Amino acid sequence: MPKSIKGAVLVVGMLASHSAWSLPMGFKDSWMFMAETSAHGREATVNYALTHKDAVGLTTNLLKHEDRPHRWEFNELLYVRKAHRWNLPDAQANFWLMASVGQMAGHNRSSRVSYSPGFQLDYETTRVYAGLNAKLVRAKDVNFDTVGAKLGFSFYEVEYNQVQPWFMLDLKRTRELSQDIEITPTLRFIHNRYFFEVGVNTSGDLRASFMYLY
Amino acid sequence: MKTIIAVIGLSALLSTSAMAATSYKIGVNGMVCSFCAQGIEKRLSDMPQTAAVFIDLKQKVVAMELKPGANVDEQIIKKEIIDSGYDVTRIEKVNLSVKEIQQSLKNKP
Repeated sequence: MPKSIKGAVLVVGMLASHSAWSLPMGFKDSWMFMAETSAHGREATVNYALTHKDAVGLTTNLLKHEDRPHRWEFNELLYVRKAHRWNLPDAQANFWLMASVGQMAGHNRSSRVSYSPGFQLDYETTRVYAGLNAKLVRAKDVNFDTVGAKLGFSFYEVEYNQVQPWFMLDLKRTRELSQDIEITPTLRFIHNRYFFEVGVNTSGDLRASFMYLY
Repeated sequence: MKTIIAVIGLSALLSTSAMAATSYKIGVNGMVCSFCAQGIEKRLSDMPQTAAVFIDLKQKVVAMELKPGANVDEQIIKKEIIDSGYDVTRIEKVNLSVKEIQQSLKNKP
């Protein structure tokens, strides 16, 4: 593998968490790159949209326990299905289904099969965003099921080619990894094919995510 | 003399109409941000007949200008927008450029 590609993979891997994406897949024949990093882990995902409703891809994850030095790594094949989209005059709402299967290693255990089915519901206008998501993250002796919600607003409406800033409130609870609900106020910036979020949770930990659509 | 003036007038008229741009003005439901609407811009821009594309998120309008002399079936445009994940509410062919459509939408309340 050429050094430049290795470097790019490493950067994405380092950026890359166990997250819910505002838009889990792109349009037909598009590639979507997503990466997130936080105190609880990292995630990098790439998927390709076979149709405007179906995408397949790969995801690599690292999860860390909140208090103990335990880590789990897993790589999975991913399928995303846009089960339904409501295209309204001034809004868009979606019901997404996701499923992935692969292998997990970590916490002094040998590699075993992992699987992660989930769903996401979201509603968005040019000024408001609301989303709910739930994901089972399972392997033998592992249950990192996650539920989350995102609520936010855009500071103002923008033209198509302008950067749009948003304020988001991100709530997340991951079973076994943390005792509390993680609350992260976040700033979101959208500019054409780029999407960037950065925030600091109530424990003072940084979270950042990036999406690129091509 | 009158015949010459008429011929000149007619050719001027024909040449003006030949130069006028042709665009499709398309109403699209569900466009809420530039990141999600990327597919519309990319898929329409990739069509060989396309000269320019403009998206107005506030007015929910997509404008697609054709290259001179080009033609495209409305159903193909609709399919490209559906493959981008959106619904077409209306589509009309107009003798305006994308810039002119952009300007007219800007002046709209």
